[in-house]
Amino acid sequence: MTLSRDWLAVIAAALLILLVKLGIASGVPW
Amino acid sequence: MSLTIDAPPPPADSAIRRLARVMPGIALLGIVGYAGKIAEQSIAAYGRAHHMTLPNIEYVLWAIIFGLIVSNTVGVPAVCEAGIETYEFWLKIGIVLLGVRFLLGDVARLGGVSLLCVVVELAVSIAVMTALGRAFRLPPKLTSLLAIGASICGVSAIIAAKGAIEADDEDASYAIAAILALGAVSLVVFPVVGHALGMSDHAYGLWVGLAVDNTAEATAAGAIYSETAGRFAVLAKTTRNATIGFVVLGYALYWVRRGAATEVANKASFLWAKFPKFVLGFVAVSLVATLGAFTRGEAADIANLSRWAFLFTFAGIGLRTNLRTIARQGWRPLAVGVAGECAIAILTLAMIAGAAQRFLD
Repeated sequence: MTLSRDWLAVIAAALLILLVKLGIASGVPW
Repeated sequence: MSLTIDAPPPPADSAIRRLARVMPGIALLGIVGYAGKIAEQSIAAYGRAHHMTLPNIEYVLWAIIFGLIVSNTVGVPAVCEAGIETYEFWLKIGIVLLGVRFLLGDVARLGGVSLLCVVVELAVSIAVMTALGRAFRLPPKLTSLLAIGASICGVSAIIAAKGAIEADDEDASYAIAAILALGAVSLVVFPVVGHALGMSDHAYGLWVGLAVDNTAEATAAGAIYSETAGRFAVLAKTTRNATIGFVVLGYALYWVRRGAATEVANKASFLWAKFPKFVLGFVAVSLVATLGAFTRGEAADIANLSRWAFLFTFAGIGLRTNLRTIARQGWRPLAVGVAGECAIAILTLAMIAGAAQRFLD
């Protein structure tokens, strides 16, 4: 089974949120 | 008992190779998007330094313009094409992350208002597009694709419907080109009309979310106006996207009845297959944020990540829009599109004007 791009995007977003939660990606500039 | 595994193991480097194939294009998206951000900041800094009031043009518009310049002058290098196609992937990541900026109650309330408007918008745009398609004697399946594209969500809806109603490739690429051309025009027209009417960020965002077809262009048309407008555009557009399965199923059943498409075996699984899953991600992040899982700083970080994801998307809008290809498509589908979209834009504007007083401000 291949994951759709939709699910991949959801997983990628979840990983990014996890990085923020763990403090690895804190203080993201804009 | 012997156990045989006859499926050949996948080549070990396939994921790495795929990544290598998309990297140049992603890099180009980043460069063009970041150039847009620098342009916005430099103009603002120049204005401050010289005590001048310059119009604040959002990086969104610069990123799209720079992308258009590259794709229509030197052209996008072939090595970058695969990576540029990822612009929709970044859009979806950006939308899911943007969930952090919405309380679930707001999603339910505004989603409800949007849904009500979406239902009316769907009925009218399908009727308008079908009537126009007949008047201009377009092939019936092309008319169906244009109606689906105009009523729900542009390109992904057309692609979803193409398989379901067994339309030709040519009809699908025609419909996609028409929707994309109209999307490009809407990036200019909507903000101008919004400013001329002095629309609030909320009302404007809801309007573009309902009237602009393709999700990337709707997000951009909102963000060009203001950041808040961009958020509301995403919410309205996401609600509209959630209805994709129902409309595509309706069209599939219509063409099955006319004997020109294969029967839909299981309607529930058909609906699930066509449902845009990133909408679930958006709602989930909004739910987690509403439950208070993020500190103020974490929420700001997630919102900034969402902005970076959108930056790649906006660059992609310009980079994959080739004005010559659009010109080659002929005028009739475009005429149907323009007439239909104008009708839809005016109708949704009227609905927003009615809804704005009651629900928005």
